[in-house]
Parts: sequence; structure tokens; C-alpha cells
Amino acid sequence: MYLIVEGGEVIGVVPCESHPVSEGKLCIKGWKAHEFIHSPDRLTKPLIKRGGRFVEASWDEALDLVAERFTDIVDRHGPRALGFFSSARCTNEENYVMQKLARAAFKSNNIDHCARLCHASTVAGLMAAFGSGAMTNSINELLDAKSILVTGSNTTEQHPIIGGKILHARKRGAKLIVIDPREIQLAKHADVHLRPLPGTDVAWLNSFIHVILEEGLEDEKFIQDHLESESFQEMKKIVMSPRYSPENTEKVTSIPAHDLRRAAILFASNRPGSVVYSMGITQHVQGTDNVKSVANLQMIIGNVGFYATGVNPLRGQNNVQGACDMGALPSWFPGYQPVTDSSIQRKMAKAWGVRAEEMDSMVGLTIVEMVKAAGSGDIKGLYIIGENPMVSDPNLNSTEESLKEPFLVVQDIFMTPTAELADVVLPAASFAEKEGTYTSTQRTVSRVRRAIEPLGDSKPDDWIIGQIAERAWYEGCSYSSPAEILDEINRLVPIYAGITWKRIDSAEFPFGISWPCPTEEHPGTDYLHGGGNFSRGKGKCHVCEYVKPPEEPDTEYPFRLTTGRIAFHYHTGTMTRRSPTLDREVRSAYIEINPADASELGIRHNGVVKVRSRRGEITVRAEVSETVPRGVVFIPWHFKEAAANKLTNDTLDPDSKIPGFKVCAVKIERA
Amino acid sequence: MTHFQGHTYAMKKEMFPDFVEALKKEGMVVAPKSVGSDLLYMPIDNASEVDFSRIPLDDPKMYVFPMTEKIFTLKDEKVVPLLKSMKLVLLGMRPCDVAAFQCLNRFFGDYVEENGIRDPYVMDKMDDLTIVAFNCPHPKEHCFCSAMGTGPVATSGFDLSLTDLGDNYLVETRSERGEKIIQKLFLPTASSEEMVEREEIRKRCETEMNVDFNAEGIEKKIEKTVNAVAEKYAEKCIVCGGCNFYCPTCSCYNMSDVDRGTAVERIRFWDSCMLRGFTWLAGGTFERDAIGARMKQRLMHKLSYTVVHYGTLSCTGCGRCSQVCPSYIFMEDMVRDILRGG
Amino acid sequence: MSTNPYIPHLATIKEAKELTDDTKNLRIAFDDRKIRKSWTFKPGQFVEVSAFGFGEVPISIASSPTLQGCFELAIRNSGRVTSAFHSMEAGDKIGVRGPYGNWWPYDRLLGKDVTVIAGGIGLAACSNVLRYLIDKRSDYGELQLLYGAVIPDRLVFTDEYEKWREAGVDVNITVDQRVRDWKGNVGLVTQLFNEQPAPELEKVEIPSNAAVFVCGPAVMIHFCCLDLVKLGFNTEKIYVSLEGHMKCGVGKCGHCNIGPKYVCRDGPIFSHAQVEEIEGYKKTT
Repeated sequence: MYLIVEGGEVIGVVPCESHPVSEGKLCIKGWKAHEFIHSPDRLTKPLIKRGGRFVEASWDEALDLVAERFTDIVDRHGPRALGFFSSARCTNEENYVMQKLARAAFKSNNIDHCARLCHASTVAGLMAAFGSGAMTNSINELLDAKSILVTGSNTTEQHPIIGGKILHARKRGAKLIVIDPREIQLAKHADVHLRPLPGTDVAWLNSFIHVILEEGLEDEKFIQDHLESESFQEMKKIVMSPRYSPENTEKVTSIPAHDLRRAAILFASNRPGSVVYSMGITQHVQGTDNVKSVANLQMIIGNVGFYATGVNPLRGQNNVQGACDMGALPSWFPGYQPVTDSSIQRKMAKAWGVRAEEMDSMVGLTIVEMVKAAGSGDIKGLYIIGENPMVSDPNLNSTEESLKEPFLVVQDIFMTPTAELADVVLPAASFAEKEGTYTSTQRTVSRVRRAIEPLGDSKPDDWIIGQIAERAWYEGCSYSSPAEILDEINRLVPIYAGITWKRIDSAEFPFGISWPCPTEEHPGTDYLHGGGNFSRGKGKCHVCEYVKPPEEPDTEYPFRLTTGRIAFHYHTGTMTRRSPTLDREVRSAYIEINPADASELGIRHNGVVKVRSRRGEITVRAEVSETVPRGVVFIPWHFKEAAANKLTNDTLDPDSKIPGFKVCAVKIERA
Repeated sequence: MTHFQGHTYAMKKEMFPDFVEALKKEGMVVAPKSVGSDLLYMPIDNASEVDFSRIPLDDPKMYVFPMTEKIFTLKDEKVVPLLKSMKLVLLGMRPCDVAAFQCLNRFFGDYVEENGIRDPYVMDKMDDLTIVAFNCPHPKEHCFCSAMGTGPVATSGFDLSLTDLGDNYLVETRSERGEKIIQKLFLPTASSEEMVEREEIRKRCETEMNVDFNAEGIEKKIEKTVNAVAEKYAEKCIVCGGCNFYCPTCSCYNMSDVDRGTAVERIRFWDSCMLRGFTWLAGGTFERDAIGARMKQRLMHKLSYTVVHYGTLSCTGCGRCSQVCPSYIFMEDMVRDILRGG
Repeated sequence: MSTNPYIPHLATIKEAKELTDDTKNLRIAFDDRKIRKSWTFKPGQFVEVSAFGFGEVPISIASSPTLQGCFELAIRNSGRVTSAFHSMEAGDKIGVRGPYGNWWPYDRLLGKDVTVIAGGIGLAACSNVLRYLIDKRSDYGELQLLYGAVIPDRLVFTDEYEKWREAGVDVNITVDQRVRDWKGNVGLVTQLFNEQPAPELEKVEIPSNAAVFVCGPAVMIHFCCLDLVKLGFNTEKIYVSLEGHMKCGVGKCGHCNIGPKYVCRDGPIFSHAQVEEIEGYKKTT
């Protein structure tokens, strides 16, 4: 989109007609993307907490304090006593510099970002299955798919442009299968809508494969040529067992056997077929297994490595793909190169001007682990940019206590509940006030350009990070421009090697280049694993047994709570709740409850209810609706004053450490 | 409005820069200009920046009715209006947008005899506006102006219009102001062959547009069929508001106050009747809770109510709403279905 | 040089009184002396009041135009802007635009009987005409008020009911739910006059030729009109206020457009016959 600037202020947006994906279309958040920029709440001055209150400070004061305290902590307790939260809303350059700060300046691998909370299981699962953790195909290919299976994604609300394309694909003849416990808008247009109980996905995915193998609909040649045969045989043995028959699976998922069979046959019989998924698959204690099962499904059908097929996780934040690519992760350097690999470590150390032996060679802590470590005192200093764990972390009740312990530095554009707890608050520039690149969910790296100067005394995040590094005696985070940073990225990250500043600002690639792009002559890659040649060589199937979620409804807490998003708000609402148009649409939190359940509890539509889990309680208004099935309730988590995450479970997926946000048990009563 | 007898001239293309210079004397000239790989309506300084090669998606209505606008500030207990008058020339307006501006003109001006309210924020700019239309040689994918009676040739509501005849532009005047601008260029009168050529271009564009319906009198038929049509298409609507934001006749807005500490600003900003919050009633319910009801409101407003309000339909067949809809809901399909009986 | 309809006049709150736990009565006077002396309105019209920094809302003027030099508003705390008004006290500055809209057709009812039926805060939107009719008592026939609220604590203008009775208005009050020591009617305001038996209500007879003014929550207006029609009242002599729809007050922002009407320009007072016509446009099946 273009931003309209008048009198130094952004007053509107213009959709970009020639953009190959958006084609001039925007969702409501896009049309109103400018409304928060000039909110009077914008942080414009550095703040230091003195005597329990924030006092305005100069940049020098604030930055010196941060560098001093961090160096002190490292000196006395070692580098692992520091933790770094990078931001999926910041540019690639900023994320790169942030992980460089953690790893080169402070020698710690304790760097992570919010992908941990959303698609960590995707990255882990697809890395293991395919060798690359990203969306395999590109968005526009959906229009040519013959069948699309959408699961755990309320696409028309969360990725409206993509949702619209799926609807259009349907109009062009694609079969649409929607697998979601709620009757989302997309489900109304589906050929088949299956409603599993939240948290039972491995069961129905295995059952799908069971049906497909039973019916002989698998692609034998693809399996033979492109999959590790031993892994396939092992997976097949487990999946074909009677417990994954549709009839037995029905007992676990509540999906009628007949419908499951119909859906599986429909999907496998219409190729090329694409799977689109999002949080409903990833945010579970079995999240990585869910993703691996999706990978299994597409591999045996032969739906990977070809046009209009693939495993397509829809990434949420504007640059979460980039933040992952740039290594703002505890186990990977930029470009998914493992931190435990000493030759990679030596390469990075050389490029960064530090001694390899001094660098951290152990995998670092993840977001939820870092918060817990802050609470226990293992982490004494925490630097958080563009992230609001006080609303987005699971089981919020302990989060606040934990974040009060360490020396906390928060860098953001607004005073969030997390920033309120900070010792130092650093004002950052918004997307309209900086230069850099973002990477979209389909791996396309494109430019973001400054429209106005940073408001007040706020600064672009890379400048702030560079300053802290300098004051901690490390010059390597200071650059003359984001172009210089991308240059360094080109040299160290093979998949970004050919995505140079010059190329993506050129007439030849006005809308960016999709990675992998190994050389400056390479045009970029639309879909991965072309022809079935997986990044890791052969595709690997995994055995995934269904395991019950750690907390299921019982007599005391009889409802299954699943959390999620709505079209009008974005995550913790720091931006969208400051847009008058978006805020007006949905002002406050609510709980979606089935009419039969509501009437049993004497709950009226718009009545106020108390929702309680083993961890906490919130008070919200009731939205009585058929969208949720009996026994299941849904709460959007955007509202800090009635934070759904006060209720959610912080049990983590052992593989990817993603919290199981999507399932916990609650009880509900009239307030 | 007095009837003006316009004239038709032929202008050699090499005179176009002089033409632009003459326009510049009338105010800031805004024309379609290449920005990146798009065409946007931007202020231009010389003729070489003007690009008539394609129909832009961009909406010139923002020049008289911006997306966000400051109405007044309250400072030191004084309310200060923030009216901006500006002499503006819109060069290259397509006939659908010219028709749309006539709707905006009537709506924001004093059109109701008894308690007519003139909106000075829009009208001060409208009153000082020079419109130079550009008749479309080719339609875009979603154009259906010929069905709405607004194009592909502009017949009224402009000061000057241009038709591209290859080596020449056919220049038509429709107002005193237009005539005065042209007189300084000493153009020859258009020949009858050139007039015929313009007609040929119009016919060719209409044929290419391939529109198989005519919306004249739709306000009399719509009530019978609109319910079914609205329900059917609304099912796909993802409530982005784009169809209203980019509609050149849409004028709905919302107002709010911004407290800047030392002063309070009142701003107004584009709103959309497709948003549920738009229909919020004091008391906490929604006038049009269901998306089908909102789609009906949108269709009825464009194709019936404005006939009551100011005498014309307010859909000009520009196709922007179809182009920006992420769910591929096309206005031309809805209009056709309304005419044909749902 | 025509006027700018969006610029409010500055005014000061002269008196702020709590009517119920969620409704406040504000007496307002314009700062500019000339405007104070010349400004007038007709009962039923509304003003756009600004709580600067929060926003602007349309509120029906509650006082009668016979009150000189100032006017009164009864504002219910139901959102961001109205909540700001609730924390205001005498001396605070606000903005006022208006008056806008049409008015209760008092000028066409000389000599006739008039019945006012109100629910909850709705009484504020028709107290204007009631007070006006009382001031011009001899110009009208029988005057009657039927008023109901959810609970006794939500009744507004309670200290005026006796005054109104003394002025010759037949005042009938009811509450939906009895609370504490309430000794009056218990039942919906519609039950005061409709054909459904209500044991704890003293039934009221509305004069058959009366013009009826109805104001309150949308659902109350709806059922009230249904019951009046059932009793044989002419739909063209039942009038309602649809004030909940408006935003800018001058027919430009589009929020109050229902059917082909703009509530702020063609209303907010409509006859029930007109409302039925508008309802026809709203039906989606």
C-alpha cells in the first residue's frame, strides 16, 4: 500500500493496484493501518523508572544505563543471565541486528520472538519433514488448486486477502474442505465442514491418511521416489492400526466417520491439492506432531513440490517469517544454521569480529522459558522489543510476577502492560517511520519505506540496538543504513544471498524476491522442494500418536476453551484498539457460547459472565452463538483488561516449546 | 445551474504542454502519474508527468474529501475551524468519476431546500475546482459505466474534456471557465470527421466493455429483487469496507476527538456502511447486525435512495468496488441480478 | 460566506444534578451573550454536544423552549463520550451545535388530547414537549403521561411528577420490577394501557382521539406501537423519536440513514405510519 502524507502526518492509505498478491485489495486493518500512527499515546521520549514512577530521560542517559546494567549482569552472572525478545513486527535488518547483539555483543543464545507462540511447531515440524520450515508454495497458486483443505485457520477473518482467494478458487471449481471446531465463514462455503474437538488433530489427520491408504489414493510413485521409505513404512504401520479408523477416531474427535471418509477421499482425489493451516494446528502441546502429520498427509498424496500444492502455514505478524529467517531464535543462526554447529559458529564469529570460543554454543531458552527463568532469578536482565508478554503469554498470572524480577528494558511504540513493568522504556519508530525489508508468509522479501520522520524522539529499532551495543563496547551492531545490514545478511545467509537492496528496489522486482535466492542472478523461488526434491533430500514421514491434551474438561471445569482472533483487532490490540474505526467494531472481550449451553446456565446474550480456569479468572460478556459446538467456548485474546491468557495453559510442546493455547478447561457462571 | 453551450476544438498533441501550463494558472494540477508500477492521482508540475495510458484504481475523491481531515482545534478555549480552500485542477478524470463528483457536489452542497446544510470542507474545494475529463478509449475489467449512463464519454459536469484521437486531442468545453482556459490557446474548431471519430471511439469502448444490461429505472425495480441478491453476495463479504472507501460517490464518515494535551483536535475520517459498528444505536444494539442487511443498505443507497435524496443513482459503474473486493464480489453482477430478478 | 455547520458554540454547565445512578441532568448556558438571548428550539429537537477530547453526541433537549437563557439535557452514561459528561460539574466547558431535527407536532394539536408514553431515559426526549404543553396548558385538551423504568431507581424527574399532576397532567408511573418498598404499579409501561391483564397495575384509559408521543428504547417503542394499533389508534397520530441513530446531526455522515430517510433531517420525530414505511425497506426476507 501507499501512505498518503499531508502536513507531515499520515492521513490515509492507497491500495497498490499492481501488487501481484494484493491486487489493490486490503482488509479493514489495511484500510485503517494509518489510524494509530499519530495517536497521542505514542511513546516519544525515553523513560527511566525512578521511585516507582517513569521519568523522562535523554537517550544518552537511558542507553548508558541499559548497557551498563547488561554488562554488569554478564560480568557477575554470565551471558545466560540475559534474555532477548526480538520482534516479529520489526524489519529483517532489525531482527538481524538484535540477534547479533545477543550473540556477538553479549555472547548469549537466549534470543527468541513471538513465533515461539504461534508457528514454532511449524518451523520444527517442517524442518524435520522437509528440511525447510516455511510455507512451501505461494499465495496466488491457491487460485489454481483443485482442492483446498483449510484447518485451524479462520482465513476470511485472519488473512482476509488469502481467504478471499480461497473463496474465489472455490468459485473456479476447487473443492473446499474446512476442518475447524467453529462454524467460521469459510465453512459456510465448504464442500465438507468437519468439526473436531479442539486438541484432537493428530487423530483425524492420521485417520485421513488411514482412509487414503485404504482407498489406494496415495501417490505410490512419489512415495517411492521422494520419501525415505523406512520412515514411510513405520508411519503407515501406525496409521493403519484400527485405532485410527474413522469409526474409532470419531470417539475421540467427534467427527462422524462417514464425513471424515468423504472429506479424505474428496481431498486426495482432487489434485493438485493444497493444505492451508494456522494456529489451530500449531498452538498445541502436540503442535509439532500436528504439523508433521499434515506433512505426512501431503507427502503421501504427492502434494508437495508442485504448482498449486503444498503445506501452507499462514504466518501472522508482518515479519514473523523474516524474524525466523534472521535467526531471532535460540537454536538457529540467521538462515536456519544451527548454533550447535561449530563450523557455522566459526563463520559467524569471523564475520562478526568476535572469538568463536567466546560464543554460546548451547541452544538458548525460548520465550516462555525465559519468562520463567526471569521469575526464578536465572535471568537477571531482559530486553524486550515490540512484544507484549503481559497479554500474549499463556498463564498470565505468573507472568506479571516473573517480569517484575529482572532489570527489564522494553522498546515499543506504545506504553503496553509489559512496558509498564519496565525499568527503562525506549520509544521506537513505527512501520511508517523506518526503512528496511519485511518477509511475507510466502517467503517474499520486499521493502518498507519511510513516509514520515519518527515521531517525537523515537528512533528506528536498529539504531537503538546499535547504540546499546556500542555502549557495551561492541561496534558490530552499528551501521550507516539498513542497506548495509542487508548486505551483511546477503553474505551470511545463503537463502537470502541474491536478495540485495538494489535488486528489490529495482523496476525488475518492484515487489520483492522470494527466497531461496542463492545468487544475484536468481529470480527467486515460488514453490519449494520442486519436483519432490526436498530441501533435506528425501521427505521424512514421522510417526505421530494421538495424545490427549494435558487438560481436558471434567466435572469441575466442564467446558473446552479455545482462544483465537477476530478480524478487527490485532494481537494485543496496542495498535488496533487505538484506531477509532477498528475499536468501534469490537470494543471489548466476549465469550462465544453455544445457545444450548447458555440456556442451561441461564446465560443471556450480552449478559456478563465469569470464566474461570485452574489458573485464573476473567469477566466478559456472553456472545450466544451457534458458531461454537456444544461444550466448546471461544474467547478472542486481544483485550488486556479481560485477557484470555489468564485462563490458558502454559504446558509446552516438548519439541518446539510452543504453548498449548488452544485447549484448556474452564467453568462459566453468570456474574 | 444555467445551461452552457459548449464548443468542440481540436488540439494537436504537441500543444499539450501549453495546455497544462494554462491549467496550472487555475490552481494545483492533479493528474494520473506513474508511481512505482501504479498510476496514482498526484500533483504534477509539467505535462511529461501525466500518464493517460490506463485507468487508475486510485480515487480522486480524496482531493475534495480526504481520508482523514481535521475539522477544528480547541485551544485556549477557542474553537478554530481548519478550513482549507485550495484551487485545484483535476486533469484526466474518467467520465465515471466526473459523474461521481456531480453526486458529491449535490450531496455536500445545499441540496435540500428546507434545511439544506452546506459542508464547507468539501464545497470550498468543489467551488474552486476545474475538472478536465478524459474520455476512455478502453474499459477496464470491471467497468460498466455504459449500463449506468455515465460513460464512456462524459457529457456534463466538467469544464473541459479530452478525447485521444491519435495525433490530436478533441477538446470539449462545458463551462465558462473551460472556455476561458481554451481561448488562450487559439485552437481550431473540431472538424466533423473528428467528431465522428470520437463517436467511433465511444462505440468501440462500449463494445469492449461488453455490458449486457442497462440500469435505467433500476430504482423502480430494485425493491422486489434486492433481498435475495444482497443475501447471496453478502455471504462472501469479509467486511473490509473497501467497496465504500474507494467508491467515488461514497461520503459517509465518522468523527472523533484527539486530545493532544495542549489542544483538542476534532477529526473526521472515512467510514463504511458495511461495517457493523457503523450501524450502532445508542442503547447498544445494531441497526443492521447481519451482513445481508448491510449489503442491502449499500445496494439500496446506491441504486434507489439517492434518487430520492438528490435525483440520481450514485453508482457510476467505475468498477472500483469490484476491483478492491478480496472476496471477488462484483457490483456489475449484483446490478445485473437485481435487474434480472435475483 | 456560508456558515460552517461543524463548529460548536462554547457553553458552560451551570448545574449538574444526578437523576439516577446512570443519568445526569445538566443545565447549560451559552458563553456568548447574544446567542444566549436569541437561541431557541422546538420541543423534540436535539443538539450535538461535545465533551472536548472525547467526542460529540446527539442528545434531545429535555427542557421546554419556554425556559429562557439556558436549556437542559438529561444524559445517560452509556459510552465513552456520555461517561465524560458524567464526570463534569458546574463550570465545565462543553460545545453545542444545533438545534437540529424536526419536532413533536405540538403546533398541529391545539385543543387536542395528548398522551406521552416513555420508557427509561426516553422520558428525557419527550419531557421537552410535556413541559411545553404544561406551560401552554390552556391550549390543549387532556394531557397524560405513562412512564415506566426497569426499577424505581431508574425513574427520572421523580421530583416533578407531583408538579405535573398539579398542572393537570394525568401521571401514571410503573416499574418492571419491584424493589424494596415500592408501592406503585408493577408491570411494563405497555401493560398500563394494553389488553393484557396485569394484577399490580392500575389500568389507564388513553383518550381515543389522543395524539400519542412514544419515546424509549427501540424494543419498547416497537411493542408500544403494536399495542396502540391493536387498540385502534391511527398510525398517523402515533409519533416516535428515533434519536438513537444519529451522529453528525446535519445529514452528512450517513450513520442515521435508514430506508431513504435521514433521522437527523427527516426526523427524529416520525409518525408510526412513516416508521412502518421505513421498516419495509429494512426487511431482508
